Amino acid sequence: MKLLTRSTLVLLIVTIVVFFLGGFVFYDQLNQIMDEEAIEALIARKEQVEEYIDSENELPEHVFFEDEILFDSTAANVPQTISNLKVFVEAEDDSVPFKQIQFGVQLAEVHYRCTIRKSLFESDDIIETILISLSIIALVLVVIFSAVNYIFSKMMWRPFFRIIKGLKEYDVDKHHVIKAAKSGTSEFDAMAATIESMTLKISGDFNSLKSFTENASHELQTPLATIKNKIEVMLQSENIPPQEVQQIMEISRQVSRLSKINKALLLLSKIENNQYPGKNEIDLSLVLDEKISQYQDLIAMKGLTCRSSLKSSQVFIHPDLAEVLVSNLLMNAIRYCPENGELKISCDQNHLEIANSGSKLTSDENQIFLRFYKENTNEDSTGLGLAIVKQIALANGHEVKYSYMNNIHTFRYDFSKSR
Amino acid sequence: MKILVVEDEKALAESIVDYLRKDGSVCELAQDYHSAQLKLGVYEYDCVLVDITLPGGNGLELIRTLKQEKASCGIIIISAKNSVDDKIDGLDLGADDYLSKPFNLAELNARIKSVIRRRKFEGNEVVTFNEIELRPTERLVLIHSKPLTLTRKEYDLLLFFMGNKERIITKEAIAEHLWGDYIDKLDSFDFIYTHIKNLRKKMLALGGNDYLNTVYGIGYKFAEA
Repeated sequence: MKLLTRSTLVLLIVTIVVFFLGGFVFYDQLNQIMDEEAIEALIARKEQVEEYIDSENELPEHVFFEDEILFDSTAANVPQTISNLKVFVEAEDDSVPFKQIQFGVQLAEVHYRCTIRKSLFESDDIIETILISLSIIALVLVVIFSAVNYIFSKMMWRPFFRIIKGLKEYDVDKHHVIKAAKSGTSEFDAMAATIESMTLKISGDFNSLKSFTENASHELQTPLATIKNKIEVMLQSENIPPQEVQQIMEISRQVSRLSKINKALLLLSKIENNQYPGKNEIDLSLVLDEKISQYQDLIAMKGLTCRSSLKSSQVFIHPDLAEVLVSNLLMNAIRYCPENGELKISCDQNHLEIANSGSKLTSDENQIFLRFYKENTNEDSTGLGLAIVKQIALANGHEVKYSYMNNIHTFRYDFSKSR
Repeated sequence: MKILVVEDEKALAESIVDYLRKDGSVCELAQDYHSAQLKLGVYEYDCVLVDITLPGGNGLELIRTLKQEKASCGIIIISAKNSVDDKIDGLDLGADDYLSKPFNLAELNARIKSVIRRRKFEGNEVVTFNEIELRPTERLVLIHSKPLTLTRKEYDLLLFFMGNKERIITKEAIAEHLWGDYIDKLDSFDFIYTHIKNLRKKMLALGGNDYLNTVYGIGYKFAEA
């Protein structure tokens, strides 16, 4: 439930309850006042009757028209009683509440019981009218109050929703910081300021982490180059003993491996950092065709059967990344395809598919795109090739999926969604 | 050939210089922006290797001034940055090639040769070694003036060897030259062996000598036995 609905609802309920209670108390008070009013009037009437009898020495049977006065002769004096009763009134065709006072009077040694009745019909009417109008006022008030509260709250909470929207859409890769305009409400301004400084720190940390990977990889390149080239110069010397040659070659191999891992990490962080902005329409089938012919001898040497069906497939991607993507998938397929195995390569408007025969993976296939994932202890593999493919897919809004069926490993690169 | 190496990392620069000097090239070294500028102002070079990040200035700036003054000089950028932007900027400024660190010296040497060939002889230079004649523009190889039919890889291999003659080239450098960065399977060394075997066979068939010497455990050396 929305905060606004909730607060309005609570307000509504409280208002209704208060009005009901208030109405009840009000009704009660009003009733009492009317009652007292009637009693006072009856007592005043009684005094008038007694005065009249004292002065005129007769019963004022037809003097006071406003109220009904009855005299009954009684044996003895009766005490004064005040009571309520309902009397059927023909004119109204209903029983009408009356208040009556009965008291004893004495005239010429005869005791009478005087009964004065006063209709409460009018006061009932007044109470009813007051209550109805009060209820209408209450209803109108509740409606107006709720509406005003709803509209005003909506207006007041607007900065809050703006901040929430900003947070929802925040992507540390794309946005630098969430900035909210001054709302004039100090709570929201404090919240906006906190979020602003928080996002500023997040993006700062994120960027420094990203640039750290990149800088570290960069800084490693030069020493690696130096080692590599020193070894190359060293190998030119004619008189290295054979057993040392082996050692040197091993060092050379490891340095190469190190620099390959380093290059791959650098590439990964560059893709992550969006440092390949110059996208172009690239026909992947042409890239594939070129790479297949480049690796033709590797395919032939392994005795692989390569079936390809290449249709024009336009992708909006950086040309370098297109090449890396195709190379990595193709090299991966060639590398893990057993000798005399089978390669199947296809591409069309929506996807690129590279499949190779081979036995089932021994480890979890969901981990295949993870960094440094290796299916076997292949010393030469950096374990980053497929992670790079995945990163390229992420950076371009594409999708890459792995599946295994009937002894065929398939990598499907889908770029239909980026269109 | 006269080559200037502009590289601030002394150990790396020295090994480059050592390697390039082997076939009689005159090779000089500048370790910062200022001294590179001085040398370029005074001497003529066939090719300049420029690192982008230099103490005292940017290598790209060096290329800019160099291009304004001496258009015939070949320029190769050697950078650890491997940044796409730098590469594009550098090539736009008139650099001939871009090589990212780390690289094989044999590769660097082959690229230098190729750049100089293009610059100096507009590609019409003929690379010769005894009875072998190689015409890069036509991708044509003659042995005793008879045309030799080679596959693309065999041709690339021969050109690579002839650019690095008298030097031992590791199998790894050959593999990277032929297949690029993505090759990382040691198996590819068998492929090199096959290519070399075929190349040798074809050359011998036309009456050529066998200059492809196997250096045990390391690689090959193109030289007179």
